[in-house]
Amino acid sequence: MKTIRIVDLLFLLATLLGLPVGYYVAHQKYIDNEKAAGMLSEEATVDDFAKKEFLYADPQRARNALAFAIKIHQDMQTANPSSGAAQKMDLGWCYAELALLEESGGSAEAAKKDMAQAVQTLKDAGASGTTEFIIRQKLQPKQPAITPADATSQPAAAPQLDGVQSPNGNSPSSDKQS
Amino acid sequence: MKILLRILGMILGLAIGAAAGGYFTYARYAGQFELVRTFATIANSSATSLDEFNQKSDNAKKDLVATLSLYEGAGETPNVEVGVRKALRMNSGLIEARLSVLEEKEGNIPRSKAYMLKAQDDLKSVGWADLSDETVLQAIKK
Repeated sequence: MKTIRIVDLLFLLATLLGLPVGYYVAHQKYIDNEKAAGMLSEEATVDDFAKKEFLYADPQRARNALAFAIKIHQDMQTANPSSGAAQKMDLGWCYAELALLEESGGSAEAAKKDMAQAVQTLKDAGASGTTEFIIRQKLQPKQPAITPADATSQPAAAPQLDGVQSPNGNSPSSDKQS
Repeated sequence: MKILLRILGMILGLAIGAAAGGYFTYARYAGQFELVRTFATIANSSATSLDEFNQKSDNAKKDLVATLSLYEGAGETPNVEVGVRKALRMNSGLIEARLSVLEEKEGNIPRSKAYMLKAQDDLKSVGWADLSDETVLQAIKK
């Protein structure tokens, strides 16, 4: 009888000890990786949406989408401080596009502030040679029309400026890959 | 014998505890981060299907349809922010445009047109100004 009680006690203690082990293993093996991939995908999807809205939607919708993408980028950077340079680069381009929209809407002050933020963010992301001139050059619309027949062909490589990644070029999952 | 029984009890307890801890942790995470989990699945599915489309693979249509259903499903997840919902809708529209291209190539003109109309409807709902076929096709190439 006494032996069984000790066994029961050991069993209960081991079960209690196993709970945090299971918690740790679940996080290490499954949750952390999946969560990181999901958050990156969400960030990239929202970013791609904002950039396409900038190209194709009316200015007000594009402004809302870019402001939302900036919020998501900032939230993700807060949640994951080791967020990569690619995400920072995307954030920088969101600021740049928002600056151009503010400028065309007549909000010179906001445009200036956003452009300064864009230049700084892109520099922080590693594009040290970024200037307002380069950003403006890069964001000039280039929209060659295509026919259904060549829609499946690979897009031509966009010209790259020194150290500055394309505003549509680094999504891991979204339509930027098309 | 007693020592062996105690060791077995400890091992069994540890295994049961670890399994329960892992299960409840994952279940809690799955409930709290439903959308994030869907996005993780979308990341893989989207990358594969777009690659298949660009490579003009035979599996492209099947994979695009699967990805489309993931985007549509994610859009129906409760408590999704409006901005995310719009982003999902735009992606659905762009996938429908790709499906339209594939259907046209296969000679299924009515299906191609139906997909294109659906794409234009989705893109209109997120504020696209120019909904011509040319603009939509240009967007899926970019």
